[in-house]
Amino acid sequence: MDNFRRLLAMPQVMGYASILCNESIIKYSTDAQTMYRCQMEALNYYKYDAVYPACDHLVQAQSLGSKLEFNESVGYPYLSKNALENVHEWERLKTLDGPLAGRVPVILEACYQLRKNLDQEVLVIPKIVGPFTLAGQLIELREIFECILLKDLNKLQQFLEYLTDCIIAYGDALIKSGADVIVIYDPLVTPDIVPADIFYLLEFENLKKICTVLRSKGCKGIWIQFPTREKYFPVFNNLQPDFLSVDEVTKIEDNLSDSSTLLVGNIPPFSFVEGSSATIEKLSFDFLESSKNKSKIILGGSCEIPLESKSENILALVNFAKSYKMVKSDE
Amino acid sequence: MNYSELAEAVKNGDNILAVSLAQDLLQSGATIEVIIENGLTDPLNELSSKCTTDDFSLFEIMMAGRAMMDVMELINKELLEENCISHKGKIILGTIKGDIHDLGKHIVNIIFTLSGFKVIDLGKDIEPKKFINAAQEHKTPFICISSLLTPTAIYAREIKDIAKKQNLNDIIVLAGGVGFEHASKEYLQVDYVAKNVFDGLEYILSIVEGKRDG
Repeated sequence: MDNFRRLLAMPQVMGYASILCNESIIKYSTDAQTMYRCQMEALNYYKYDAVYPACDHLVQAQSLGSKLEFNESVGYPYLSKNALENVHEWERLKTLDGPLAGRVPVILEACYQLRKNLDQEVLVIPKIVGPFTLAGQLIELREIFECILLKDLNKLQQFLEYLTDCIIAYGDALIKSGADVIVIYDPLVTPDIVPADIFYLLEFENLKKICTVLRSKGCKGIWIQFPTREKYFPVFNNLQPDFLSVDEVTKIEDNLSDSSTLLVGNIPPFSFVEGSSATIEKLSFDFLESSKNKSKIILGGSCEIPLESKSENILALVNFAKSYKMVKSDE
Repeated sequence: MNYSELAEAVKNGDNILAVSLAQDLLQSGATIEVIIENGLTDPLNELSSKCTTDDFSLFEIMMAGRAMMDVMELINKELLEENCISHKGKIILGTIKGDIHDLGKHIVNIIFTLSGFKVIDLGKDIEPKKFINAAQEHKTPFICISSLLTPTAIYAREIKDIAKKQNLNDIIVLAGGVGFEHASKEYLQVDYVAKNVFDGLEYILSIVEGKRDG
């Protein structure tokens, strides 16, 4: 997937596609045809390089038993009740519907329709959450921390391993539905929330397994998305993602052993809400300028495009990418 | 008297050792004030300074915070109560409507309590109006709202509006948490967006101590 000559723009327009189409965000998040149509319309309007059959990050948690509230005035569905009270009862999940229930068929169908109807040049990219983050959506994060504090790790590790298998089952279904690349989003294992040693103890091997198995099942690209702090550089080298969302490009470039990894970044999401087109152009320019190897850069946000974003700001990002001239030495 | 061992145990989040060391110190005649100053305040300050360099995690703060709370419980519940109510003021705290995550809120509760505030924790998924009602009931201007989810901003924005409609112009709303930390105070229509718990604490303290206009 390298060796492209033009600068790609891949802002994570997910639920924002429904805002652009003046469609209900709840309908977008629960109906495959609506998600498909909104994604297509957004693509036709912005003409960027990837579509995202994706919505809130709770699709997997809901499929495994967490209850959600659907309220149009809030936006995306949100968590109203965790599936579990504590880690020790995790095996109860096995008696519930499983990782392909709930709204998972909505995502799979939208993914299938997008892949079927789009040129191969446009990537179809669904998003999954990592095991620790999924655990934090099925149970209070405090309960998980209690297990760690009490060194009651056995059950927690079994729980996370079970979730890893659920994620793989979902990922496999996404690949069969036409996903080109899968984003693995794992915000609850960032250094702001858990120290790096806990990440390595509880999450790293599971993430590695997910990447390895999904690749073996035909996934063309793995995209890792969580803050790229220095403590995690060895992780990125080990997981060898095809795409990596980056906060700051220079340090990553200096520390990444796999030169084929594409770096996606880094317009802060709120810039799309509060900034102007000029802000986006300047941030894009600065990001590109800070990179040593511009042929490995893809322009996008550091996270999902917020629902309150200004449409002209997304357009500014895409137009900047289109007008950016790669000098020969960068190619 | 070995206060550094107590401070170390607290920093490491070893609450059992911390309580045991505090017990030893009390039995050997150490005063409560000195135990708090040398055994608890130092690790609290260290956590605060780690926060400013982003070299911290919620997990570490929760561990240390819990050890501190256990020691405080041992020392004297009444003393804690007295200090909180009479010395610094009251804080209305809650996770805003649309979000049921409460870890960040829990940590704010611990750190603000340890810093001498009486925290009235309303819980999670709280309607904007309830924050205002609680502020009136407890006669405090300080409302702290937490969220992990960006879309809940619509509810954060309502709080000051409700206060203004009731002519409560001295209400001070502080927002924090992953969902809010990258937003501006203008966007959220609040008085301050805290980068972390200690940044929020500093802001509230600066108002309480009269260093900053509310």
